[in-house]
Amino acid sequence: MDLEISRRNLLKWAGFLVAGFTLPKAIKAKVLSPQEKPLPRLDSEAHRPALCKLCPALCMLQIRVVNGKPVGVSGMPGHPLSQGAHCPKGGAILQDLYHPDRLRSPIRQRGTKGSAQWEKISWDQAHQILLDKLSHLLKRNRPEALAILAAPIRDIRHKIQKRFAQVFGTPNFWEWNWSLAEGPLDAFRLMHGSSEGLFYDLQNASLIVSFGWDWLQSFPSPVEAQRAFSELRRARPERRVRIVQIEPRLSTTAAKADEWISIRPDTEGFLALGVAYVLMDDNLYDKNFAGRWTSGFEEYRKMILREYSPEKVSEISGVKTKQIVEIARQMTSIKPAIGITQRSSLFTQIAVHSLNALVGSIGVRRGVLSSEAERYQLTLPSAAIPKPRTAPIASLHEIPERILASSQSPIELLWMERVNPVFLSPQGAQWRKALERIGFIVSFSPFIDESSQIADIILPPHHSLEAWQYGFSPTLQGQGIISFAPPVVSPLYDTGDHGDFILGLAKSLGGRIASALPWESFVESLEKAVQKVRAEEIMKKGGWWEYVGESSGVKSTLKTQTGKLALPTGELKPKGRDLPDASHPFHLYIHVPLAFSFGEGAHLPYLHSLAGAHLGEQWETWVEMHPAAAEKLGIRDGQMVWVESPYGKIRARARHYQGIREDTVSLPFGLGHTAMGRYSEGIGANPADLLAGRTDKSGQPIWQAVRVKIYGD
Amino acid sequence: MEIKDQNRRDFLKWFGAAVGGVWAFTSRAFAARGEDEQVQARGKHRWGMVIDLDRCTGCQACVVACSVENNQMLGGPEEAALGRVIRWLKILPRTEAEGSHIRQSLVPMPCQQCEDPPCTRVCPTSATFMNPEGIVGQVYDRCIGCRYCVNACPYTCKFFNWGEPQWPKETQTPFNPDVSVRYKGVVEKCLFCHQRLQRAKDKAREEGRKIEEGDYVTACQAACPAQAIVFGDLNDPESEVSRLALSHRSFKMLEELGTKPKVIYLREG
Amino acid sequence: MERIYAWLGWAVVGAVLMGAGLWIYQTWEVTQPVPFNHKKHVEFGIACDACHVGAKDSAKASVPNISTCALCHQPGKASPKTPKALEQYMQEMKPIPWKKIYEAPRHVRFSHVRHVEKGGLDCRICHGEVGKMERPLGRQPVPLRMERCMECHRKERVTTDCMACHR
Repeated sequence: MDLEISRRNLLKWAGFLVAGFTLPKAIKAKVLSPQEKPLPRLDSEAHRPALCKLCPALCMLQIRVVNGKPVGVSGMPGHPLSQGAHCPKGGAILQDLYHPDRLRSPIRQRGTKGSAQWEKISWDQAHQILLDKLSHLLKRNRPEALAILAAPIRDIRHKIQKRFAQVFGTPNFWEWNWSLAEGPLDAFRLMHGSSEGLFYDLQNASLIVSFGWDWLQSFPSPVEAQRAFSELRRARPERRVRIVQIEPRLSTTAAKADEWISIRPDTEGFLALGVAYVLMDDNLYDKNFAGRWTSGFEEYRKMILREYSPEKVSEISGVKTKQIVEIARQMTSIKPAIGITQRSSLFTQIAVHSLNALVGSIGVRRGVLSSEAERYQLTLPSAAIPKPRTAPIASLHEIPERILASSQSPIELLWMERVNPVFLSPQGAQWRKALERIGFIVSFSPFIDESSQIADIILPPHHSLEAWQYGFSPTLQGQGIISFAPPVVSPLYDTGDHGDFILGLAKSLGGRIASALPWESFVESLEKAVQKVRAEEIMKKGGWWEYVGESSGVKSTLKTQTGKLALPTGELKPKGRDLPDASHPFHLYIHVPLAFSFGEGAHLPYLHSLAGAHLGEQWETWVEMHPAAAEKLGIRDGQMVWVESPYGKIRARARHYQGIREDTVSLPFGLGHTAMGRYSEGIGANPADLLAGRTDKSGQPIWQAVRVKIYGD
Repeated sequence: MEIKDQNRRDFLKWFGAAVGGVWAFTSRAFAARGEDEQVQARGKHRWGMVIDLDRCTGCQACVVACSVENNQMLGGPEEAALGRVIRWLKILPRTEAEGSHIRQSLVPMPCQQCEDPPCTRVCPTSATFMNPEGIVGQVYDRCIGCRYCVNACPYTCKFFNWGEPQWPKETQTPFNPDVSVRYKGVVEKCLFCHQRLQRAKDKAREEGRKIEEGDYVTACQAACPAQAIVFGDLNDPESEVSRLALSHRSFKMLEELGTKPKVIYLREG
Repeated sequence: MERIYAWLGWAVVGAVLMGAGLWIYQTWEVTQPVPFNHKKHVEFGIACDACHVGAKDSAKASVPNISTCALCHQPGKASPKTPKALEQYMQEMKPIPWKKIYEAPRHVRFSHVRHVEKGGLDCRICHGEVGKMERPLGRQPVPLRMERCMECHRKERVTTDCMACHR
């Protein structure tokens, strides 16, 4: 035994010796001392930071990457916006990245516009085509014939695009906006002088009276809204918030509120003024605030007391007089109270916001606050920027009208960046016609969507997980958050960075344009911007920092020339309304499920399952009807019906729902794509097809003022 | 008679021996099984979940997080029309109307992880069972698709795969490697993200410590922006779930059935 | 009578076929592209996980390929001797198309690190005396069966929770 073992040992040692002489050093390290683990683990797992760009909130995510493949999503712990959580959309970001119908290379329209005959082109070809078009415009001295329509994402790429428009010499640069997911920015602008930095202090509120805003589902920053609600409910045991939801429909917010007040669509403004009447008639309003901080108060008071008695308002809105008085009582007894509304008609926005002035909730905690954070956004190094020769041809939502009104389109070259007005706007049909009249359209879009269908070339941008990301987001606490994330994966397809693409064009155009945009790549410009604030380290690893920008006091919210809050009584004149008649007996109320917030998301299969959870509805468009109203028409629950307005008709499944008024029906927005890949094309119907396509005085499209009829086959 | 008697005695003898043999054999099998159960009884944890309906906003981030974590089917209009889209965690709506007064609650419904689960009792193949830490499991390879458990579950939280799931090539890339992709003919259900428990255990062992609160987090809890979902060990009286489970607001779904769910809800208000 | 013979005849044919099937099933081996000699390498003192990277510290163990072989074997060099087949793969820079013998089924969550490092199991318990084999693996020396897993798990009193392994 012993002999054998020692013999074996002898052989082994001889082997080692030989090996020691013959093998090079590196091999020795690897073969003879395996305990050093020279090779990486086979199943490497990492959690990488990423910035979600599925909506403008810009939350930070953590992507679980196993063996180089992203396989899981969670919120970034500690990030002020996400705090470790995410919204439904953020959770589905991998479906967006790995969508089977993502464009894999730039494509060019071969036939006529909209003929859907696409052919592949290279990025160089795309560069050359655009360069020719742009130089042609410069040669003819018609720079304003270039127009850029950009996504509302606070990013350096956005700033590059804007600067390109400026130095190219066109005033026609627009940022897309979608009013169903925004606060009352127009009222803020008119009354405070500027809407910048104003926000509702939702997370600390004592009483939230929402005039028609389903804010849990369509807040501009979804994660924050859910968190604010949760904290309001349970984080402070000593004081329970009261949430009152005034809406035609029992929405998710209404279901979660303490009280739901059912109201006729588009009459929330009247109700607010009825409440204002009670406040002033009973002398319950904040006289101190009204006297010291408002201008035009007497006029306002006279108008309200003349026109908006609770009885009259009750008749218009369908809300009982008793309830109007009750709202007024609550708003004065629970202090401070905030009345919130979304970016609906200018009338409603101003009416609701004037209530905040009456109860003195402006510039105070739990009311309306302002933040300076916006000015901490990263900026490009300064450059000489010429003054525009002309004004923009129109405001964003008036573009189609403006183009269709002229014999020849004032825009010859349109650049669209991740926007889809044909689908998202109630003026979709007009947008389509207007786009068809524009000479040449370039669309930066990851999918062939409804607007890109009319484009001449489509350039697919990198997914937000495939490229460097920077984002700026204001929070509900008044902070400004600057976040960075390096790419999580390398690009899956032949996609490009639109920042780089514009910089490339600028370089080739030369002259003033090249010197204002002198960087080789988007990342270089980002580095330059980051160097100014000395945050290179954070940028490199991915991360964020925050600026505290909140300022208290009424004064900080007011940027008007008089230094006072304007009460534009002129906008509060009673307006006529179309009432349901025999031919179109129902009001149409359009709601936006959180899954399709900002109107987007129907291309992601997991989001389809969420849309109509309260009725078990998914993967189709349904129309909510009160059972009593449906029975009168003989419409069964689950029957397919037509919903017809004077402007169009769509098909939907009728669903009996007790959470809707008898005189109103409701349709979800987000479905009914005619393009954008297999999971959205041909599924459901788009309620925007039923709308008149008019714009309000606020400049925003009108969503909630159409009458419809419903019938079976 | 005598001969017959003898035969009868023989018969009884042999029959007895046969029965005895079979009994002895099967009892050995049972003994082995009993041993398993002994081993299993060592499980110290009892995993449970508290869902605070007062915090919950009905946003359904949990539903998406659950789908992503557990490679759930994409679904489509055809499946939706037949009610065959599988979501282990879904929102159960309840609308109560009395005249003009309407209340609606949106209740997130994962598997209730009963302590006395009706589904495991009817499973002929032990494909569904309760594991030593109280999680009601499902082993797809044992499942024969009889759907007894689907019918037995009073919470409708077991789902049958009626067809081969459709996964375009690209959508297979982000599969969670820790979770298998189910196929036609098997039943599936929420397993409290069991794969995360395995990972948490591995990690704790690697660091030479016991599993602690916060190591094992389900996907729905991690995603919830309203922090309405709390998950943890019900056996640990110090844990957040145990504390919340004692709240005066707590209730269990269909408690009267005696299923003893380990998902506990907290009422609104 | 004749019928009985016929039956018997068929029975014999069936038994022979079954026997042959069983024999083939039990002794069937795949041929590997390179005549690898485990014994030689082990005797040389190379630990299993030096080539099967991950066998100790990762869920999956790997089967080495030309880049690992090239740490010692260099085509054209006398020592160590490189088999012709390997030399060809190395020259063409093609990976050796090993046929996988041991692969956990898709529905099993198996982790080497758990068993080898934490459980302290010897490789031979599941893989047999591979170290003494002079030819590459053509079949599983110790068959991978759930029965064996359970036997050991019961004996060692570790978890028998189905979900610990089934995913």
